[in-house]
Amino acid sequence: MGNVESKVSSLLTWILFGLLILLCLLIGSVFFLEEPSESQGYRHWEKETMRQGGTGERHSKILWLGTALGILQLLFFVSCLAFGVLRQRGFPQGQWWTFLVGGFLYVLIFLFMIFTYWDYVNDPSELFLSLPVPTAIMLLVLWPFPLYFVLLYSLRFDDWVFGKKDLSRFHKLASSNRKPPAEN
Amino acid sequence: MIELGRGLTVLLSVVFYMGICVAVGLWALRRTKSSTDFFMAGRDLGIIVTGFAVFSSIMSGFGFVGGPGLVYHMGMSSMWMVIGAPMGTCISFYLLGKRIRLLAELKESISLPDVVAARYNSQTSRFLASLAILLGVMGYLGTQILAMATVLQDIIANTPIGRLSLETCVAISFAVLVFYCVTGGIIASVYTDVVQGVIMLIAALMVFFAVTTIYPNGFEGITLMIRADDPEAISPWGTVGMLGCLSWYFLFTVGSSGQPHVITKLMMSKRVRDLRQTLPISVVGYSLTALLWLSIGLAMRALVLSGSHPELPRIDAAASQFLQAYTHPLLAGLVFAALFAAIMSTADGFLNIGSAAIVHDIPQSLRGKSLKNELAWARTATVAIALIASLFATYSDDLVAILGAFGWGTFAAALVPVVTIGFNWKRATALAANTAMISSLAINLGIKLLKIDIPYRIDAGAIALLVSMTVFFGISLLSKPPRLDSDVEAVMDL
Repeated sequence: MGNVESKVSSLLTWILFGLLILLCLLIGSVFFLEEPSESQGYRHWEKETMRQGGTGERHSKILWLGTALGILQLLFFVSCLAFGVLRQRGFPQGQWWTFLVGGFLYVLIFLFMIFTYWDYVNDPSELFLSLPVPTAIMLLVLWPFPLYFVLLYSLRFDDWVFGKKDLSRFHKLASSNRKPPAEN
Repeated sequence: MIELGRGLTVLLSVVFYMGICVAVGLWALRRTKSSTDFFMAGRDLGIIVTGFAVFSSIMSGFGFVGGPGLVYHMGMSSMWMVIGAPMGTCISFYLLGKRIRLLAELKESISLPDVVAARYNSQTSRFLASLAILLGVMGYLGTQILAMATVLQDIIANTPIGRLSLETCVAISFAVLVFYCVTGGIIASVYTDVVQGVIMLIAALMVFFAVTTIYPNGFEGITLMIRADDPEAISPWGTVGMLGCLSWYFLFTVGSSGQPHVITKLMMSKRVRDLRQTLPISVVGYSLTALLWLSIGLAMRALVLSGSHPELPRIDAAASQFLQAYTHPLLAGLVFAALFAAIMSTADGFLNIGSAAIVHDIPQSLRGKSLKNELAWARTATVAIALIASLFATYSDDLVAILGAFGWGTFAAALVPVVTIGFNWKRATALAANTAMISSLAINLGIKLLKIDIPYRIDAGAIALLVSMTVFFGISLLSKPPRLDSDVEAVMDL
């Protein structure tokens, strides 16, 4: 079992490293793209303290790149969480799916936001809960989605993070090192 | 006359709050008997206090003053800094919560560089971590003191006292801050965080409802006004654009696990098992208080665009003008008190880790031992750091601006690979950690000082973070696996 865990851990390390390399390549490629003059917005025509973004057309050439960047980031975040759990304990059998499902849904929400954004660029009239649809997805779904991982952490704490056996192992370790530790 | 009444109510609320801070400082003084108490709150914080301390540390003066100003200025773009926070807090807890707490107890560490030195068995790593912390602290602290002085100046201007100079307000802010921090150390800060957190939660919800009443058709009226002027401003990417926003998302999500004023709070919890309740408190608390950032910013943008409110003199005035013009004076006073609480506790956190770097970590790394009478020197160092940061804030605006923007990115790029990844990965080496910290400082400083323009407004801190993490992984994978101390290895196996 230990051997299997170490293989999985090693795989996850390489996945994280691979995702970082891909992110570096994507960010690096931006330096070779021709940048439209209004890509970063511009000063408001009347209000000096405000900026405007213009039209969504400014994103037409980088939409694929931005989408890829967003997806890789989300995968990196979820892989980091899995890395934090996996390194010391491995996953109890059958628990991998919780992270896979979480990552899949996270990416799906992001993609849905991108698709609705492109609709919004063409027709900004539709609102959902008083906000443009992609903004509503960003604020009402993408923002609170990590609560899924909060819930996992709280519910699976004993199995994944720190159970009673770990506590007694730590007590032994601490007492062999120095004076008795505080209650943990 | 009515305006004077409002101004006095707000000022009295703030003075009342500052009185509470002084009282907390005096109470904490009696509980601070050692450097472990001063820096680590005796490692005795309960669930609620740790939970509130974590989210209150992130929602600093920047969140209260800067956040609404950014939404007013650039639409929805800056919300990517906010929506990254829940996932960022998850990363901090999943990867660091248990590990850093156990290592701190095992090695009797009183600072983050202490734990870094224990993990990598390297005094160079300790020195570089201390240097990164000190540089970031100077930038952040300067902006916190400046934010406090600026808001104080605005509040006093609406009272019979009239407008005071910025220097006077910086001096007042410095005096209150130093008294509070020197007497109470981190104990004062974490207990103020609880008061601040409660006030912020109540205030954020009340302000959010106040915003929905500004237009007859509620929030929809605000959306329609902003959209009519510029559809992109109310879209997910705001005026900054997609790539700039996503770079913030990366920096503020992954980077939050490298913020020393936040993660040192995890070292102070009483029991590791408390973390399972602390995480939801931190995430929900932060998200609710962030409603202030969003609602005030959007409301002020719509009000100014519609001509119902004059254009702001500066973007940072969004929160203070909204509160003074559109909310009940008691609510305004409550929010201003919360604002001061946010600044005080965050500044206290920075002073704490900065003084630890000076009196504990740097001497340890250079001569292998701390200064004698560490507690007294810590208090002296606190005064010195606050004084230098106040002078920067008053007389070197450019420097503060450079260092302020540099703060979050510096912490993130220097510490995330070394701490967040390195504490979970036995293969990580001291060489990789040191190279990652040096490269992160070089990239962050280089881009800021040389004023290099990055296409599509991609954040310099995000690039530094990405590079330092890649370097860290790359060098560790290419190096021979390090030999760890047996007790450190045992903790990493837990």
